[in-house]
Amino acid sequence: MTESKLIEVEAVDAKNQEPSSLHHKRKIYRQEQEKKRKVLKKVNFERNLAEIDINDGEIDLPRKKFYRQRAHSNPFSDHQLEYPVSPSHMDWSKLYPHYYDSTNNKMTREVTIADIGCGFGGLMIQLSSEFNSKLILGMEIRLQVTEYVEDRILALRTKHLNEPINNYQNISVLRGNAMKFLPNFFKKSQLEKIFFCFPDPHFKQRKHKARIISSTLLSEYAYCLKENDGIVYTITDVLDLHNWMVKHLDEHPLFQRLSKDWEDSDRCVQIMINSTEEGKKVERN
Amino acid sequence: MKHPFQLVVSNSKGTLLFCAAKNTLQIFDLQNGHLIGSWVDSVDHKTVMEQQHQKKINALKLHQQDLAEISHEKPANGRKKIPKIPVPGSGAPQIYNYIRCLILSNSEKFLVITTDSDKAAIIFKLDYSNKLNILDCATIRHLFPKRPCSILTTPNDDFLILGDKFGDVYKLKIPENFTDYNPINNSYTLLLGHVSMLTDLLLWNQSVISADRDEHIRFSNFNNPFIIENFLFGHTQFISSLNIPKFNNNLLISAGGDQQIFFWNLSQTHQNHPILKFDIKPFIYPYLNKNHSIPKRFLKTKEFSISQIKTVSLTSNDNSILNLMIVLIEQTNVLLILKYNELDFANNKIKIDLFQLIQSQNTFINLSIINNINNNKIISSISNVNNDNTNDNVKLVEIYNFNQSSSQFELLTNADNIQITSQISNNNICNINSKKDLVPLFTINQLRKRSEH
Repeated sequence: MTESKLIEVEAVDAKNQEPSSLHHKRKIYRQEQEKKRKVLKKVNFERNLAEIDINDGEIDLPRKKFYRQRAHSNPFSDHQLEYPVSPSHMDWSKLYPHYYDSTNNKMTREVTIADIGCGFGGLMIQLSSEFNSKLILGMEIRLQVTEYVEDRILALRTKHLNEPINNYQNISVLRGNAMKFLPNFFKKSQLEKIFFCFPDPHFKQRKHKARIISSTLLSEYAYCLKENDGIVYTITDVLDLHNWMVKHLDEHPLFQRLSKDWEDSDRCVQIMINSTEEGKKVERN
Repeated sequence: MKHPFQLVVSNSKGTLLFCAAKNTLQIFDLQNGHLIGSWVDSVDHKTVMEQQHQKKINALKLHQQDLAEISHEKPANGRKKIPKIPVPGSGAPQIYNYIRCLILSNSEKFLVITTDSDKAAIIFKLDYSNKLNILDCATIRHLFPKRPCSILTTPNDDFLILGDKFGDVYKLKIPENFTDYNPINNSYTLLLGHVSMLTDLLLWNQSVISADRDEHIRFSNFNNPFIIENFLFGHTQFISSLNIPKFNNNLLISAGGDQQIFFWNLSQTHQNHPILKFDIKPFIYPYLNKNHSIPKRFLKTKEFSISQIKTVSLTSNDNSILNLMIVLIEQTNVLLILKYNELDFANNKIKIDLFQLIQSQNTFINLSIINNINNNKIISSISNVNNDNTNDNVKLVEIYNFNQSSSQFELLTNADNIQITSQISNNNICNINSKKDLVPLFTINQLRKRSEH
């Protein structure tokens, strides 16, 4: 068992040394982004951008082609994830520096909206201005995709640094496994909304247990959501998955489906349909 | 050579010892070492796997036929292919035919075991009147979708609660009548689930406490298990054992891969951090051996895991009450006995001291405790595998008696007691040819997560 793992690691190293052009470009690009990210993460509203040494203060939006990663990641694996021992151990100031009160050493508000499996961040970017007084967190299990979203948010924050309200300071992302560790991040009844947009359908029967909505997981989501006010939003373009999610949510004693009228009047439903990458693809087709 | 006992459980009176050795279940009379019950699991995992594999293929074929009927589609390329199902083979992790869990029900009327061969839980309605073989009795064998790894019974023995490797907890009704039992009618219900292997389960007041490999201790309401009441945070490594001692029903003791033993006050409903973390590394470190070394690429130090914690309440020679915890660190030849002092529980003031360190010639595998007024013993199963002595006279059990006058646990060395342990070891019906036929005896440390990315 040990031997085979060693070989795996070496193979990856060998790949990185190939002088293949896209690989190489990607590596250089990502290293630069890593540097920028480390600096920009500490920026908050008051600090002068001139203090930071980045190409004339210009931050470009990241380019997806440098962040390609395979679409599926096994949620049951022991990834090398960072997660806090408990919600009170979580340092939110690194993700939302603008909302950290350094005189009292605490956050001025808590995360109340979560986007599970946020992908490339399309939904959160729209939600940011819609809920500009609330903190929104995206959780994504794929490493490269998380880095893309981080870079995207940092670029947006820098571009809109001088705007008082819609400055993207209220959205952030972290790499995490929501199926296992959601209670480590959020206290009981902390969240108002949880979004599950276009989750991995896991078509095969034997993979159904890896679906993000299941009766056992719903109990955990219910724990993190506010009673009576907490809402779970799901959207998918796979009918089988939609029926599965509806069935499990209906069967779970703590969830109740909201009416079509309510759906038509709720702003989040509109944003969910129109702003995610997958949503736009569905619209186009 | 004889196969060591991977599990030992004694009854509360201290008269019987229930042991599991590989795929055999044996009961010994603790007064004379005689074998008074035995049972062998004859189901072989290979045949079971082939059957399950065939079932899956049949189910998929039916599923595809149904889909074809509904959609009236013509298959795109002539023959519809059946999706590939992984066939267990040489690359798959090895499966052993052995008994993984063993418990006695609260009333001791039932004995429940789980087998790895066919992922089943077997309930024995013990026939104490049968002097030849207590295990020659009515049984129920109930299969589960995933390998069970933790079991317990409800206080009045009406249900079996079972946790599996996937993280799901099921409830199975133990019927009145075993003979008319039909598995289809009496199905289990899913209570709750983690997305992580369950390592221990407890029932406390109206809650189910479940601990998993991802450091969670979760309280769920037993009657409405979809309601999660609380999580306890603090562990940074897997949890292997949970214990609520008889001497304090609001104290939870938990341990596993962390170097500390954690103590929690359950009477404070919103408190979800430990009141004390007791570091046992200084006591244990001198006794770690080459079995505790780990591949260099992870860390350079040795690591250890706690496999079991048992609690007892005794009277010492000066008539004071001793509340003790007996801690077994995996694959060592020592038992760490700690004394619990309650200074002011309501204000979370407790103190833990070292009481005694028992050192043996052999490695401990599993422990059981007898805690009665005049009869207080630690019964341990030991491993003889490091000795190349394949002589049948090797002992597999050690018994430590609490000597009231010296206030210490002592290995019984008088002729009578040696006779009992030798009898038990000799009467063990599980014979194997060599060390290669041993089932894994020390699996707790493997629960530790090691990841690359």
